[in-house]
Amino acid sequence: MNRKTRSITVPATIEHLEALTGMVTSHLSDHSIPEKVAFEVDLAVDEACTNVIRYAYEPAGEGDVTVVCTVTPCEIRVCIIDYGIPFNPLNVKEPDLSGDVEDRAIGGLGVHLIRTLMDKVSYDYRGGKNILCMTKFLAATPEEEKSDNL
Amino acid sequence: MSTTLKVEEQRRGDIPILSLGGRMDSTTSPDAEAHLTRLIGEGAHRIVVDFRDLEYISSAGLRVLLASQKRLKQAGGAVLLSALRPEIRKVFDIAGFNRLFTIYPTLEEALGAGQGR
Repeated sequence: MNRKTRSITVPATIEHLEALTGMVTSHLSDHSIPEKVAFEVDLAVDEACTNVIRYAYEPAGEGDVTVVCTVTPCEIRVCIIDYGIPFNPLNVKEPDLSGDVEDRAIGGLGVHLIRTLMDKVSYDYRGGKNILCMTKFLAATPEEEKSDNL
Repeated sequence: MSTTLKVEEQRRGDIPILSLGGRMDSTTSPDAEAHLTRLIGEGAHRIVVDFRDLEYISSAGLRVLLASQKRLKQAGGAVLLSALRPEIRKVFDIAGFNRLFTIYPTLEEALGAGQGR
């Protein structure tokens, strides 16, 4: 199976955001992933990592964030792992997008973008780790790949 | 792909134009925010933000634009946007921002609308 994984672990600070998203975009580019798809995965990873950087560790606390990106012929899967406060972003209430400028809250859009842009998002808290995995299916679906392999 | 945000300011008549290029994320958005805050503080009523060279925007960038729009709208003004790339337009659509901003295909059209009122 043509599975290719790359990962990076850095301190969860805003200065490292570029290294995290940069690893993913360069991995996608190495696998000739179309720009439009790469843009959407880049954005989802950016939003997820920015949340970890801002909220995972206590204001004075420090910790690492790990990003693991796997590209197969049928999907792109990116997992964001931190050792901070247990937090399930999928429990975040969907923002109200109906209001006018004065009613709209500043913020709360990151998780909404992740949910909309990615095809599958899962969260698990295991062994003291927050693990958020986001999947974007490519042209061939997992089912098709399975039958191809038979 | 660019990892920095280029911010250029110019003026056409009374209307300030902020041209953004590159990447507007949580690292780089404060730079654009500083420009917008200063222009609003100087009394700008309408500001055109030209997205022609902007390759990327995250919710941090959207937040900066919304904050400026809130301030200007209170004063009866507005942030006008021009030349969004399709990928960025999609982000606006998902966030419901297409209803909060008037978006023009080109800078010239945004300026025409800005000066017309």
